[in-house]
Amino acid sequence: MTSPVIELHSARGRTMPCIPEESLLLLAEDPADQSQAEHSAHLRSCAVCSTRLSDWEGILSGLRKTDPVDITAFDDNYFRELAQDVELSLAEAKVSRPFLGLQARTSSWGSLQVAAPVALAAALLLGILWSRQAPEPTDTVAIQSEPAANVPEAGLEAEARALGRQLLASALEDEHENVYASLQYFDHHDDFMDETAAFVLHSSLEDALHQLDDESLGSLFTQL
Amino acid sequence: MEHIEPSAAELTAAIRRGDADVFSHLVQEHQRSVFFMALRMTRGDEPFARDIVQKSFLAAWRHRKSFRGEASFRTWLLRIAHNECLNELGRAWRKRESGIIEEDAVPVPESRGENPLDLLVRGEARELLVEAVASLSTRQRSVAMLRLYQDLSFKEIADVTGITVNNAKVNFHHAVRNIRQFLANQGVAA
Repeated sequence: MTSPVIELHSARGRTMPCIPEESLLLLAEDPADQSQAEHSAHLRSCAVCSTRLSDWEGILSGLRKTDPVDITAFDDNYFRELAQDVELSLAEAKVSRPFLGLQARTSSWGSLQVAAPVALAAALLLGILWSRQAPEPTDTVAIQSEPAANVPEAGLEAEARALGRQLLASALEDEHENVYASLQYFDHHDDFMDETAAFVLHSSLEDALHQLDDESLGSLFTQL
Repeated sequence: MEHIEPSAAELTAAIRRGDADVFSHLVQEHQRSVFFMALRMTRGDEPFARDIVQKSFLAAWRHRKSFRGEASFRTWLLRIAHNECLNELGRAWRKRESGIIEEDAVPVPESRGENPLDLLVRGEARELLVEAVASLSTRQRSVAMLRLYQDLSFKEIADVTGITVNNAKVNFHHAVRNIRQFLANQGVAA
């Protein structure tokens, strides 16, 4: 962006450009910001910039005094109760939920029912799970068991497709007996991508799926 | 009994192994940060903010092994919470990324003496500030709220929102500038 006001003012016989508005705001916000240190000499000699700096200081001060939400409405009792609710949720989460397909007693995942878990269980045993978005929504594959690193990405994708075809045997069905397969993971969650990509690679898909609500979980599976 | 604060490495290890006492302490310590961040992102939607707190700590628990202590737990948690907010607010809400007020659309009004925010401090136009904040793009709002009311550094804001430090500064500038312009358009500026 460009500053709407770039003027020249005299300082010891030299003309110096006025400080861009963005820099003035950052100086007002943090006078110790070293990235703006170059402006200190100009500020000492330019009344216009000094005034504008004061304006921004006033604006920022005013904003800080006026929180747009009334946080005083939430007292210690409120947060004591909220903490209890959170801890209850955490306690429930700590009760281990076996991943679909790992064991015969695993019969459901949210609203989805495990129809045939064997192939996925076998895949899980192979190593770290890896997943990626299939290029087309109708593609049925986006999960891969990859115990070793440094496999070319194209190879990973091909293997994922092949494995996905096998995983059709691990199909899920919902309460309406619609059958689902195919993990299409995280591409919808672009803001979360950095976090989840590392997570998937360094942990397990089991944990990744545990964090999803039913709606999100359902969206990851392609109806067959 | 003397309480000894764990080192960063000890805390990281405790989080990664899912130490129940540590998580309980972290809930107590950080729930307000998450709650108020979500509240400010939604014009004070208390049920939404409450839900975000729940989901964020659950996600933190489930992601705990991906916490490597490179950032503080607070920053890491706020990043999770910020992403939860964006996910929950959904695609329609994200359309506001384009912003009601176009950046650089109009110049900042010149000062005429009285600070327009003085009026807000007196409580006469708090609702206008709420509207001004709501008019910001999601990113500008996130950056401004985290900086002004949660006292995060620009580096921490960058970590939470997934942008660069310079981008955080630019968004902060745009946010404050647009708030000021919004208020001027409402006749708040002196």
